[in-house]
Amino acid sequence: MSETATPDINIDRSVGDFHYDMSYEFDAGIGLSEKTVDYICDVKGDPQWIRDFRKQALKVFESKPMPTHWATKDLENIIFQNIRYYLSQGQVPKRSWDDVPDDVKKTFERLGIPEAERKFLSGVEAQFDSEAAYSNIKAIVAEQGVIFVGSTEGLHKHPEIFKKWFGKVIPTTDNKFSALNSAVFSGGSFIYIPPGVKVKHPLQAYFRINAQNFGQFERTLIIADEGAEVTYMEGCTAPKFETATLHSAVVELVALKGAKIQYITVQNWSSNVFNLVTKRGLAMEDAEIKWIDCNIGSRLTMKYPGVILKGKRARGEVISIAMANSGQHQDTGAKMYHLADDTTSNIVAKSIGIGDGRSTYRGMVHIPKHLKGCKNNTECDALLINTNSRTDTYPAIQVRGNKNSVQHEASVSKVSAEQIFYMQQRGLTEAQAMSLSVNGFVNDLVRQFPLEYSVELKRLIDLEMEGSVG
Amino acid sequence: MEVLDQPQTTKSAGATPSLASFVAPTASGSSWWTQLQQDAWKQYQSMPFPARNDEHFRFTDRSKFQFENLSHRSALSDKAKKQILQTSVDDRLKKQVGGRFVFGNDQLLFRQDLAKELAAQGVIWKPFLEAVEQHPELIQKHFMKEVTTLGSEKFARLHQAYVQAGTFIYIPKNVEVNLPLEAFHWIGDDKEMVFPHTLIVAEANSKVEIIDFFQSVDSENGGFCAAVCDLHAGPGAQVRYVATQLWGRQTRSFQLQSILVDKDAHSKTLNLNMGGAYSRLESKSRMIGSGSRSDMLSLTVANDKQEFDQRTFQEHVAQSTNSDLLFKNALADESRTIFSGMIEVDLGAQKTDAYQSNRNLLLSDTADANSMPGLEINANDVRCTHGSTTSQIDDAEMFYMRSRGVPLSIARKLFTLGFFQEVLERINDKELETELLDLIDKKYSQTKSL
Repeated sequence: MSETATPDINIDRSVGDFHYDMSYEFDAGIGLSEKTVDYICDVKGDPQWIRDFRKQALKVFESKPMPTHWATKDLENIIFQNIRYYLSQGQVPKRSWDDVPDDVKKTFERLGIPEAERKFLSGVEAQFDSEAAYSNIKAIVAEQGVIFVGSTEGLHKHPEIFKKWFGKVIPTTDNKFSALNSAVFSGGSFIYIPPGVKVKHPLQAYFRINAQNFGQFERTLIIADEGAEVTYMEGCTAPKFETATLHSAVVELVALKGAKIQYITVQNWSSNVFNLVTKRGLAMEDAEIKWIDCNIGSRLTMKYPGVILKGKRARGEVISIAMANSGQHQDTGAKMYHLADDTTSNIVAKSIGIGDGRSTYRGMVHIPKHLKGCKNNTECDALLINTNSRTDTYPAIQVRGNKNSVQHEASVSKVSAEQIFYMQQRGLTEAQAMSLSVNGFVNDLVRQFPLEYSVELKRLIDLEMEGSVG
Repeated sequence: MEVLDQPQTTKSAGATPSLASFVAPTASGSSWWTQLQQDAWKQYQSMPFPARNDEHFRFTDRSKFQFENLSHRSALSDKAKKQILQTSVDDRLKKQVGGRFVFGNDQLLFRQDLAKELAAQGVIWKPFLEAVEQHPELIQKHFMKEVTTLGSEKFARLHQAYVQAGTFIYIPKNVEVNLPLEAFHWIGDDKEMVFPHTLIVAEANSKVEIIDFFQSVDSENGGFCAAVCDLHAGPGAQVRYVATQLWGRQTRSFQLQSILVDKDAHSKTLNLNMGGAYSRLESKSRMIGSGSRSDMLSLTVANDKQEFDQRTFQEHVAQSTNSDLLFKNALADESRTIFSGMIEVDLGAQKTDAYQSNRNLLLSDTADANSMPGLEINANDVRCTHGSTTSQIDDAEMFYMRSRGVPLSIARKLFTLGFFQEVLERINDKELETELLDLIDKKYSQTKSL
C-alpha cells in the first residue's frame, strides 16, 4: 500500500458537490406507505419473509415517537412524507466498469473510484441512490471464498448465511430509524469471510445521494467467520440541494470466534443531509471489532457505533473524530455492552467545533453484575476554535460485578495562544498555524487510519479550517 | 441513532408513583405567606409527575415513590423528645457552636440563639416561620428564587406549600461568624413527613458556616422528607454548608440545593449521605460574578438495598469563574448509586475553569454504580474536564497491607476510609472531619457483609 500515497479517494465537499439530471428507471415516488414498501419488494423481487419483515418494520416505525426527549429538536424538521424512498437505474450491479451507464460513471469517475480500485482495493461497491451501480471483487479474494455483494444479491444468492444474521444484531425495534431502514432498505453491502481467511486489502464502498429529497437507506451486513479478518471502508458524499436529504443506514457486524473486523467510515455528506445511522457489532469469544468513525459533513449526524461483547475476552473499540462547522451538529459517540467475562473496550473520541458548530459525545458503557474482569476506558476531548463553538458530553456508565473497572475522562480546551504565536513567529500564517494545531490534536487517532485516508483527512481538516480564523 | 436508555434496570416497571399522602396543607402565619403557600400548592397539583422517560430520572428506581399514609407535624412522644435532645444537645456540649436549633416532626424543640454581640451587628439566625413574621422583606426577596431544574420541580413546590420548619441566616456586610451554626431535623415516627428549609443570605465580604443534620429517632424508620437549601453568597463572601444525612433505613428523601455565588465569593458545600431507602440530592451552583468559586463535595456510604440518586449542575454564567465538584461513593451489598452531573458554560463565560469528578468504589459484586458526567460548553477559552471511575479495591494494595501484617478486613476498611479522606480534608476543619469520619466508620462497621 506504500506506493499509493497520493490519494485518489477524493471526498472533499467541493468535489462531491455536483449532480446529474437522471431519468430513473424505477421510482417509488414521494412519501411512505405500505404501497411504497410493496413497490420496493416488487422491483427487487424480495421473498415473502422479507416483505413481511419490511411491513412489520413499517408498523414499528410509525408507532415509535421521535426521541426528542433526549435528542435535538432539529429531528422534527424531517418531513417523512416529502421524501423519496426508492430510486434506481435498474437493480443488477454491473461487473465491469464499461457496462455502467455513462452518467453514473461520470459521477464516480469524479470521485475517483476506478483508479482507487485498480491500485489496491480488493473489491469495490459503489452505491448511487438506492442501488449499487458497480460492484466487483478481485479474483484472488473471490477464490478464497469471500463474498462481497450488494445486500439484495446477498439475500437472493446466499440466503442461508444472510437470514441467519440479518436483523439479529440490530433488531427492527431498536429505534425509530432502524425501523425505517428495515422497512425500506435497499443497497448496502453483504460480506462473508470464510473461516481463517485474512483479507489483506480493505474492501471498499461508496455511497452517494444524487437526487433531491431523497432518502438513502442502505443495509450492510458483514460476517467474519472464525479466525477471519477484514477491513471495510466506506465513504459518503452528496451534492448540496436546497431541501434536506435523509440518510439512515443500518450496519450489522458479526465477528465469530477469534475474528477481527475493522470498519472505517469517512462521512462527508453535504451540509443538508440528516445522517441518522445505527451501527453495531457482535463480538464472540476472542473476537475484535473496531469502528473508526470520522464525521465531517452533514447537517445533523446521530451515530453511536456499538459493540456487544458477547464472548469471553472479546474486545471492542471505537475511534471517533467529529468536526462540526457552522450550521452542523455532530452528535456522535459509542456504546459498549459487556456481556461476558474479561471483555475489554476502549473509546477515544475527539471533536472539533468551528464557528457556531456543535459537537456532542453521547456514550453508554454497560457492565452487568454477573461478570468479572471487564474493563472500559473512555476518553473524550473537544477542541473549540471560535468563541461561539459548542461542545457537549453525555456519557452513561453502568457498572456492577466483580473486578470490573471503568474510567471515563473528558476535557475541553482551545488552541493555545502561545503555540499559535510560536508558529507565526516562525513564518506561518495564523490560519496555517491553526490548521497545524488542529491536525496535531487528532494526529494520534488519524495515524490509526489507513494511509490514504489519513492523508485525505488532513486535507479535509485544512479545508474546513479555511476562513475560520480572523 | 439509537435509544440510549436501554437496558433499563428499573426493578418493578409496573409500579406507578403514589402521592396519596400529600393533601392541601393547613394555613399558617401571615397572609402573604399563606397566599404564597396556597399558590405553591396549586402549582404542585397542576404539575405532572416526572414521566417515565424523563432524562432527569434515568436509572432511578421509581417503584420507591410510594407516599401513602404519611402525616405532618404529629406530636412526639416524651421518649422520642428525650432521645432527640440527648443526641442533638446533651451529647454535643463539648462542641462550640454559634447557635443551634433542633426540630422534631417539623416542630421546634430546642433553641440556642446567637450571642448578643452578633445579633447587635445585624446577624439574623431564626427559626424559619419566625423569620417570615419578623423579616418579611428579606424572605420575600430570597425565598426559593433559584428554582432547581434537575427534575424535582414538583417536590420543590410541595416543599414550598408545606414548609414550616428550618432556619434563616442573614449575615450583613463585612461580618464574620466564626463558630458554626447547627440545625437538627428529626423524623420522630415511621409515617412522618418533614419539610426542612435552610435559607442562607451572606452579604458582601461576610463569612459563615452552617451544618444541617437530618436524622430519625429509630434507625429502621421510614418517612418522607422534601428539604430545600438556598445559599446566596454575596460579593467576596465565604460560605460553608454541610448537610449530614442520617435518615432511618426506610426513609425516602429529596434534598434540593441551590447555590448562587457572586463576584469573588467562595461557597463550599459538603453532603454526607448515609441513611434512607431512596435519597435524592439535587445540587445546582450558579457562578454569577467573575472570580466566584463553588466547591461541591459529597460522600456516600451505601449498603443493603439503599439507592442514592444524585443530580448536579454547575452553571458558569460570568467570566473567569471556578467550580470543582467531587462526588465519592462506596457501595456495598445490593446498593445503587446514580450520579448525573452537568457542567454548563454559558455563551461568553470565557476563562471558566470547571472540574467534575465522580468516583465509585464497589465493595460487593452486586452493587450497581451508574455515572453520567456531562458537559455543555458554549465558550472556547475554557478549561473544563470531567472524570468518572468505577472500580474495586485494588488487589495489589491489599497484598501490600497483608504483607505488612494487616488482616484483610482491616485493610479493606482502611482503604475505604482512605478513599473518603481526600474529600474530608478539603473541608479544612479538623473537628468536623473527625466527626464525619466517625460516622463513616460506624456505618462501615455496621455493614455485616464487609
